[in-house]
Amino acid sequence: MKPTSKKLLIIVLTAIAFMHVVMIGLGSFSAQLPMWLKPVAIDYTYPLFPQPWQTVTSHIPTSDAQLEFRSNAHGSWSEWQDASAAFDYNNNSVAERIEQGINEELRWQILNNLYVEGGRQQFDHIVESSSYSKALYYVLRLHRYYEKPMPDTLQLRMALRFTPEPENAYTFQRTFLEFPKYTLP
Amino acid sequence: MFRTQSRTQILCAFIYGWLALQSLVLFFDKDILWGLSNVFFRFGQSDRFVENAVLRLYYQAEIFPLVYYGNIVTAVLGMLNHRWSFLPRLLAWASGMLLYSAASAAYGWSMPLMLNMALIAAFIHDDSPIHWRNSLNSILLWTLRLQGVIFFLAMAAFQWGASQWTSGTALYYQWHLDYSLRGSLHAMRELLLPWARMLTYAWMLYCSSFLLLIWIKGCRRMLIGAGLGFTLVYGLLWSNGMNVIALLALLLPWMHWPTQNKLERNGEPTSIKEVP
Repeated sequence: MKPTSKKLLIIVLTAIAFMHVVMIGLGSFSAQLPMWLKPVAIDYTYPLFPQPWQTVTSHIPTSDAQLEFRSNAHGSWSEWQDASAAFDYNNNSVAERIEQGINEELRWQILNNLYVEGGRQQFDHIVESSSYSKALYYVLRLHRYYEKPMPDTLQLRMALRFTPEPENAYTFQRTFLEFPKYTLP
Repeated sequence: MFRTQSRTQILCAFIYGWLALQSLVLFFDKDILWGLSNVFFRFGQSDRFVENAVLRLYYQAEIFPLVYYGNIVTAVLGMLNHRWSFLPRLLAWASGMLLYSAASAAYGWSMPLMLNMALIAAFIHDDSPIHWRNSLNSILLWTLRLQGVIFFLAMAAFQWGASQWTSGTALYYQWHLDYSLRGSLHAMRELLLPWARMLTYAWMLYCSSFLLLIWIKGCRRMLIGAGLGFTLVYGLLWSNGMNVIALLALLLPWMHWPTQNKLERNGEPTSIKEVP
């Protein structure tokens, strides 16, 4: 290769690498960018060069959440079971990680879409959400994968264990939020 | 000879070895992640060409054995240093993208980082007789370094903007999430708590100082040593081992790396072939 062509090639490659670094840098801070620049950065980084670093350091939940279910087959309800542990997955398993992703979404739904009307909690916005569908689907697919009998009705609940603030007494409060019963078609 | 040639090779072998290991770690869960029995609720995504290509496995679970086993084989081949290595490496990156896009909830933050690094490292060919390939290696090495710097920049910036980090309680709350802490440490969680604030601030300080001090040659060794220390501590605490191992990928490109020109100036052999 001629020295001029070689120099040109190196300049072009350096420029491409530099542009890539600038774009992924912008993509890492896409939420903070001005409106005109945000779509450019997102279009470049998603889906080929994802930069989800904000989620690594974002707000850490102040409660441990577990998704639980109980099922009704032939008229009798089962005990409440953890959605992953019921299928022999432990706390550090991949299934638990998936469950925690669903729990994060449900947590957002509870904070933003749960309301009280006529003295009763209203779940209509939550059960219409994709987060609730994901949770139902997760439990039902594990039932099918492990060849457990499919229930007639399924009910989900969130079990929350609140972490005390560091300066408070080291005691844990547990609470449960039961979602409406879902009858399988 | 070994000292000069092995550095970039170790880096590439590490990145592609990590990709292969990540897929192997998920071997027993592969059916619920990508198979026809997968547990993910699928819905429509953007209809652009790139999304349709990357989300192929998301839409078409039937192709998962080909993608999954293909990813392991190509990633292992990508660990080799050959002039045609870019082909298996690109395939390992592409199949890794398909696996990640179809089951992103199964991965930690390390998978996108390592995929980004794998694409950059795909074109590195150490010990190439073609001169411009050595210049390309340097450019790619710097791109890998800058990807790491961007990671630490983002970590530091978001940490300084989050009250849990500035108050030193981030790891305190993280340790109370059962899935996050190693199962064997749950019983002794209370004993670890006095260390939570110190470790939170230490990690914040490390991320912030990395951006500034890594450019100073005299500080590099200290930063890399501290980074290895954090990797060890995190490895003992966190349940997601692949995230912990990936921290090393951020340090490897900065480890002592004599350039081709410098070696030539010093009269040291620059290629395996030149060694008598």
